Amino acid sequence: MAATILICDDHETLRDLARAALEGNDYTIVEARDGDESLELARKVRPDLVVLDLVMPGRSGHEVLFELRRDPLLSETPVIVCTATRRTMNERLAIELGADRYLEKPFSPGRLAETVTELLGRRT
Amino acid sequence: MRRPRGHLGRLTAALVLISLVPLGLLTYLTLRLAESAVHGEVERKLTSTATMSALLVEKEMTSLADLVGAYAGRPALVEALEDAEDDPEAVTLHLRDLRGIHHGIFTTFLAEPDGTLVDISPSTPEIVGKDFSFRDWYKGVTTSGRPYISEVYRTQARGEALVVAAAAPIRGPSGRFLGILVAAYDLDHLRTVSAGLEEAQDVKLRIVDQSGILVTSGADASIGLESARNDPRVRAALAGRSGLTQLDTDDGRRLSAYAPVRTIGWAVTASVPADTAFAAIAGLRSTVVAISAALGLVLALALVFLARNLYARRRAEQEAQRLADVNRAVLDATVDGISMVDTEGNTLLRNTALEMILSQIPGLPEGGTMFERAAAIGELTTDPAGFREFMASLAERPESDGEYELELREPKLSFKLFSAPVEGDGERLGRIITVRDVTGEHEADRLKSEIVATVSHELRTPLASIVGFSELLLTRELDSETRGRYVQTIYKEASRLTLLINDFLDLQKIESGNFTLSLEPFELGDILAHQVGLFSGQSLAHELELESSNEPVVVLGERDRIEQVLGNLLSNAIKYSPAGGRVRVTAELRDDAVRVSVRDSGLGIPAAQQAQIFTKFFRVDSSDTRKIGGTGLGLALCREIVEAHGGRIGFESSEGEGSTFWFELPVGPRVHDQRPRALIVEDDPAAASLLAEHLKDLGFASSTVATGEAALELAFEHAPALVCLDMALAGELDGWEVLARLKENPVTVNVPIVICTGRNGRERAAALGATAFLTKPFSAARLREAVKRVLPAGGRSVLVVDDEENVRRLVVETLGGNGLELREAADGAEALEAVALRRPDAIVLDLIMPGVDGFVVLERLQADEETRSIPVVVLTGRNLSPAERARLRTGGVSLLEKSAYSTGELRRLILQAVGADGDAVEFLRV
Repeated sequence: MAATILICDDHETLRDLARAALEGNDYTIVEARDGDESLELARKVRPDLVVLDLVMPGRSGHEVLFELRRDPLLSETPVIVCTATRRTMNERLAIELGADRYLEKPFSPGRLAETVTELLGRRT
Repeated sequence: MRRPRGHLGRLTAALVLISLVPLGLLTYLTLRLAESAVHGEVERKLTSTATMSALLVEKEMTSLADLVGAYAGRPALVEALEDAEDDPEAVTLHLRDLRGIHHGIFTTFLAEPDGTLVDISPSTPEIVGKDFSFRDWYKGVTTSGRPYISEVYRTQARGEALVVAAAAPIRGPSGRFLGILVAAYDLDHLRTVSAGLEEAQDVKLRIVDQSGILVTSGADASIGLESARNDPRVRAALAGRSGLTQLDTDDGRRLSAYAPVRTIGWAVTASVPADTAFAAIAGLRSTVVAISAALGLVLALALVFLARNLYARRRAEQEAQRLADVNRAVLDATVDGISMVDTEGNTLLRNTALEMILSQIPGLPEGGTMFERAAAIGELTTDPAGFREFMASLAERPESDGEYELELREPKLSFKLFSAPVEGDGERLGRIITVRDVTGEHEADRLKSEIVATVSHELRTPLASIVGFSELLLTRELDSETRGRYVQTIYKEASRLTLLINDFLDLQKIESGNFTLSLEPFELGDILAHQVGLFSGQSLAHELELESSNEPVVVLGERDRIEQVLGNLLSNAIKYSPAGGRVRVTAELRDDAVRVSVRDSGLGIPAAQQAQIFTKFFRVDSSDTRKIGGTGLGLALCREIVEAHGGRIGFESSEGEGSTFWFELPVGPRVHDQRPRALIVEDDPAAASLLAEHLKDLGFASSTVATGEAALELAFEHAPALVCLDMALAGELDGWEVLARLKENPVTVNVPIVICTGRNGRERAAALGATAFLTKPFSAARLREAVKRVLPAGGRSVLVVDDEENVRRLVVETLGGNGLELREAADGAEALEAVALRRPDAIVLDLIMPGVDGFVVLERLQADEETRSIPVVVLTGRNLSPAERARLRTGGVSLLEKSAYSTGELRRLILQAVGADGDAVEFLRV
C-alpha cells in the first residue's frame, strides 16, 4: 500500500516542489495550506509521514507538531520539519517537540526524498 | 552676578552716609559746645580781669583822693596855712609828710585859691608862685569843691614826668576856701600794678583817664600823652558801659573787655589776641575732628568690610545655590533614574527620571527603606529569587559595587540597576543607585531579530523554490512540459525575489536618508493608464477600471517612483480581493494636489490593525489574509516615496467591504505661482469674466474687484503686474480717483494701468499716467496688443523646443504673462523650420529629441550668421558629460537641468535673454 504523505506549507510553489521531489515514488500526497488544515487532514488521513513548514498562517508548525505528538494515533508519525526560518532556536524547539528531521529552506528535493524514504523505511 | 554687586555697593555707600551724618553732627555739636564753653570761659575771665582792674584802679585812685581830702581837712594844716606867713616851714613839713604817707606820690604841693603855687615838696623853688589854674586838678576841685583825680598831665617839676593829680580843697573853720592840696601821683606806680595784673591774667591792660588820654598801657613806660578816644572800647567805657568785643587791630584780631572806672570817670580795657584766647578751641577742634575722622574712617571701613563680607557670603550662597541647581538640573536631565540612600537605606535624593520610572510601577510602597521597597519590587520581577539575592549581596557588602538586570512581569519593563557606594571624608555615606530603563533596547533588539528573521524567511521562501526546482531540473529526467513548468516557476520566484530585494533595499535607502528624487514634470494620466494596463494583463481574474479627469494633470516627480507606488497599491488591491473583484483607479484634482485612489472590494482591514498598516513588515493578520504572501514592505515603501514627493498617503477601509488606498501629489502651485497677477477693477461681472478669460490666454492669473476701495487695498498690499481699470465703479471711488491714487502710491506707481471703459477721456487718462486706453467694446486682439505694449518683454518671441508636450506646456505657462510671443516646436527639424520662418528672440531647447536633436540644432544655429546670436537656454533631463557642458557653454548657452531647475530661474534667464530683465519702467518710457 502506497504511503500517504502530508505536505503542510502555505506557499503553493513549495508544496509543488515537495510534491515534485517525491514524484516517481508510490506515494499518496495530501497538501495542507495552513496549520489548522494540516491538523485537520492529519487526523483525517492519518498520513505515514508529515512534511511540515513552521511559519504558517493560523496555527504555527510548532503548534501542529505539539498537537500531533499529543494525539495517540499520530504521536509516532514521522515528521520532517522544513522551514525558512532561522535554524538555531527553531531546530532545537522542533526536535524537542518531537520532529524526526529538520530541513532548512532552501532544501534539496533529493535530500527530502531520501529523508522521506529513510523515515518510511525505518518505520516499516 | 553684577547686579548684587552694584546693589551692595549702593547699600554700603548709603549705610556709610547714614552712619557718617550723625557722626558729623556729633562732631559739629561737640565743637560748637566746646567753642561756646571756651568762649564763655575766656570772655568771663577777660571781663572779670577788666572789671577787677577797674576796681583796683578805682580803689587806688579814690584812696589817694581820700588821703589827700583827709589831709586837706586836717586842722593842723589849716592852722599852718593860716600862719604861713609866720612859719612857712610848717606848710612845707605838712607837704613832705603827705608825700611820705603814700609811696606812689611823686610830689605834693599847695596852691592858692587862684591857682598860684604856694609851696611844693620836694622843694622846687623855680615854679613857686606860678599860676597853675589851667591844670585840670584846679578846674576839677574848684568846679566840684571836692577831692578830685585829674587827667594825666606832664608835670613841670622833677623831670617833666607824666602824672595824675589827686587834689582836694582846703577850707577854714568857717568854710572859707583857703587853697588846694595836691598830690601828684607817679604813673610808674600804676604801671607796676597794671603790669602785675597783665602778667597774672595774661592780658593786655590799658587805663584811660576821663578825657581819653592813655594812663598806662601794660608795662609800657614809653607812652606819652596819647589820646585813645578813637578806640570804640574806650569810648564805650568812658560812657559808663562795660562789655566785650572783638576788634581787628594792628596786632591782629583781639578779644577785648572794657569797663568804666566809675568814681573817677576813667576806663579800663583788657584784651588778648583772639587766636591766643581761642587757641584752646583750635586745639580742641583739631582733636575732635581728628577723633571724629578716625571714628568715621573706622566706621566706614567696618561697614565696607561688613558689606564685602555680606556680599562674599551672598556670592558664596548664590554660587552654592547655583551649583545645587546645576547638580539638580543635571540629575533631572539624566535619563537614568538616580537615587541616593544612606547606609540604612533611607532615601536621601531621587531624580525626576527615577520618579517617572517608579510611577510606571503600580503598587509600590511610598515610604520605607531601599530594602523594603526592593522586596516589593522583587515580587513583580520575572526572577524574584535572583533579585533577592542581589539585594542581599548589597546589604552584606556595603563597600562593593553591584549590577543587576531585572524584568518586570507587568508592565513589561526591563531595567538595569547599578549600585555604587558613596564615600565622603573617608566615611561611608550610603549608596548611589542608578536605574536604567532598557525596555526600549530590549524591544529594539527583539524587533531587530524579528526583522532579520522575517527578511530571512521572506528571502528563503522564493529561494527554496529556485534552488529546489533547479536541482530537479539538473538531477531528473523530465519531459519537456514539466521542464518548462519548472523553469517558469523558477523565473517567477526569481522575479519575486528580485522585487523583494529591491523593495527592501529601496526602503533601506530611504530610511538611511540616502535618497534623492530626480524630478521632472510628467503627465500623471500616462502612468495611470500604463499601470492599469499592466495589471489588467497580469490578473485576468480581476476587473480593473480607470477613471480620471479629462483635464491633463502634470505633476513634478520621479516617474518610476510614482509608478512603483501605484504598482504596489494595485498589487495589494488585487492580492486582497477575491477573484472577480473589481479594482477602481481614480484621479481627481483637489485644490493644489491630485489624489489618486485605488479602491478594491476585498477583505478590508480590521479597525484594530489599521494604525499599523504603513509599518514596515507589518501584515494584516486574519485567517483570510494568511493565505496571501507579501513582504510587508510595499506600503511602508509607498509612504516613504509619496512623502519624499511632498505628498500624502492614506486609506479608508472597513473589514469585509474593501479598502481605498490613496495618495496625493502636489500640482499647480509650482506652475501657477509663477504667473503674473492682473488686477481687474470692473463692476460688471460679465465684462470682468470676459477680461479674465482674455488675460488668462495672455498668461495672467487675475483677481477681480468691483470697487475702487477694494482695488486700492489689494494693489497696495501687493503690487499686481497689471491693472485693468473700468471708470464706472460700484463703490464711492470712481476710476479716475483710483487711477490717481495708484499713481500716487510708491508701491503701485510703476504698475501699468490699462483703462477699459465705455466713456471718453483718453487724454485725461494719459495725463494721469495710464498706460493704455481701451474703449468698450474691444476685441481680444486689441486687448492683447495693449497688454503686450505695457509688458516688459512686449513683442519678443521665444521658441520652445521639446519633444515632450508636457514640458513645452510647463515652459509656456512659466513664461506666460510677460508679453512674450511663445512658439512651440516638437523636434529639432520643426525648430529649425520655425527659426527660418521668423527669427525668435530666444530659444528654450531640449537636447534629446528624436531625429534632429538639440546638439544638431545648436550646430546649425552656430553655423548661420543670422542665428548665431540667438540666446539659447538648454533645458535637459540628460546627465551631461563635462565635455558636453563645456561645449554648450562656449556656444553662449545657458544650461538648466530638468531635474533641478526652478521655473523662476527659467523665467529670469529668458527675460534676461530677450533684454527685458525686469527693468520695466525704463522700457515703458521708450
